[in-house]
Amino acid sequence: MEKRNFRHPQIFHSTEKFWLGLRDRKFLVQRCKNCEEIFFPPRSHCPKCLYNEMDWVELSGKGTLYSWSEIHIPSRNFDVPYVIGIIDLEEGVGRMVSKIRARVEDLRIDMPMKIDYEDAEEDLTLYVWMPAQS
Amino acid sequence: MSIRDVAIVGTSMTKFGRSNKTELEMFAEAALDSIYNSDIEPKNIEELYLGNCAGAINEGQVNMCAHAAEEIGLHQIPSTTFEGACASSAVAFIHAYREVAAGYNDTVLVAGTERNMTLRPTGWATRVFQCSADQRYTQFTGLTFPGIFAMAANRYMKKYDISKEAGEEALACVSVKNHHNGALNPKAHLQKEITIDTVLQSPKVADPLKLYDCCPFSDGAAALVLTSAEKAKKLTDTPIYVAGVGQSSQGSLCTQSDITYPIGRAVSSKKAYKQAKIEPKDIDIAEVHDCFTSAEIIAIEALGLFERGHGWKAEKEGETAVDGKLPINTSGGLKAKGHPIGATGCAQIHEIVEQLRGDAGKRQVNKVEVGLADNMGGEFGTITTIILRR
Ligand SMILES: [Zn+2]
Repeated sequence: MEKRNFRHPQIFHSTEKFWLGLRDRKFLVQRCKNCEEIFFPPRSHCPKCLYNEMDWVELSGKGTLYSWSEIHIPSRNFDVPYVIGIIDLEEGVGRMVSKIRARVEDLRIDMPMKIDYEDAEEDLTLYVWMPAQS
Repeated sequence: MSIRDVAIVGTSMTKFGRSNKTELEMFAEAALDSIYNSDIEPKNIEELYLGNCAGAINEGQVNMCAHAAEEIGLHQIPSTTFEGACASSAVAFIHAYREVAAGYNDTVLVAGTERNMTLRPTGWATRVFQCSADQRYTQFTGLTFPGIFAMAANRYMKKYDISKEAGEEALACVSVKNHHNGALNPKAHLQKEITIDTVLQSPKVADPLKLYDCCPFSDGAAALVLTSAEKAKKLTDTPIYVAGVGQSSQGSLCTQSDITYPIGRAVSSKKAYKQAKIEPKDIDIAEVHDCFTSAEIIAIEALGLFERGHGWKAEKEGETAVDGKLPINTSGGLKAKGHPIGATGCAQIHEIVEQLRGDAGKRQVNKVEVGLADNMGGEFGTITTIILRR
């Protein structure tokens, strides 16, 4: 069995398009084909009407910093220190927990943030958020 | 639905901290002690409800419930493991309570057991805890449990316009108070007094939380015997009644709103208050889920025990001390009593029972009629509220 890398997400059917989008530098989320609700994170059923067929639409990749913390005691396989945060998406369709790329002295709660992409492996790109002005 | 009154007639917990026993053996120690001190015979136990979270990962023991029943000679009784992360044994308690209340059973055993201290290094334990966060969208980011409660603390300070210095001092006050209580509890993992400086000068874990803002990884077990009120009166002069229970669930942190006021906790506690026909102001003592110092402040506000935005001041001004307006975590809480995750729910109830019976020794609170136990599993994923009365 392949050794699992805890720094990488497990990718499943309902979330695959999201991860494929990141490889193309696109922040794709689901839109319900029944009620047109747009939401993050991707899932198998619409959180509003529970329908199970979705389109994919691209978001702006902008948001604000709901909160953050610099981590000094890590989970396994992470090098410290690193910063994690919660981002409120600009479109108001949800919230992301994410690695944050910034100097901690530059971070302020509610500041504008933007998404960026990091190639982790040949076929895997991860997201990271950073201050919009940087 | 008509339900009958249910009472706790036996209770026990092992000394929390470092144990050389397995989870099953710690369970057996607490279970048999709770059965013997309830004045019943083991053969009178009709069913076992066991809380355990990570035995499968840590000890390689799946289906622990079956082995647990056999371990204490309860052959062939129904036995079930309940898993709700750090709230595992409170969830087990609620299910046990319901079945006795509904009349399916008369006398049952509820227990929780977990070995968190003696197994692997901190990185492994942090990873195991992290497993209760959303596997699809949060675990791989490196989000840790201290990280979640650090973010909640930072948001709280922003929301109520508290300076970093004042905020960190209030967090330290929670730790100092819980260590003080733990020093009076012979079963506590950490039985030593500390000062605000001990906390502020301890190593950073997840800013603003430091080592002394975090509960320890502990080994331990706790157990309770529940029976119908009718039978309880024949067994003891001090039956402790279950007045109300509540439970709620929430999904990924990505789907939650205000992490300084978990709505699931408000929902759960409202159910419990309603059943008990009381209001938060009627609570005399509470054990709340202080896995981190910020978690205690968040808990006492969401439970309605303190006004929103005022919890941090209450901690600073001693309102939550054993001799304060509303004593919180007289046992030492998870912070000092310790946190063997699957055992914590039952251990909180154990403390409330001791207080209601007047058996809490040096940390006994005067005139306790009603007590509340608040247990939380995962990223506010599973929340339970259990209200007990004399
Ligand atoms: Zn829909």
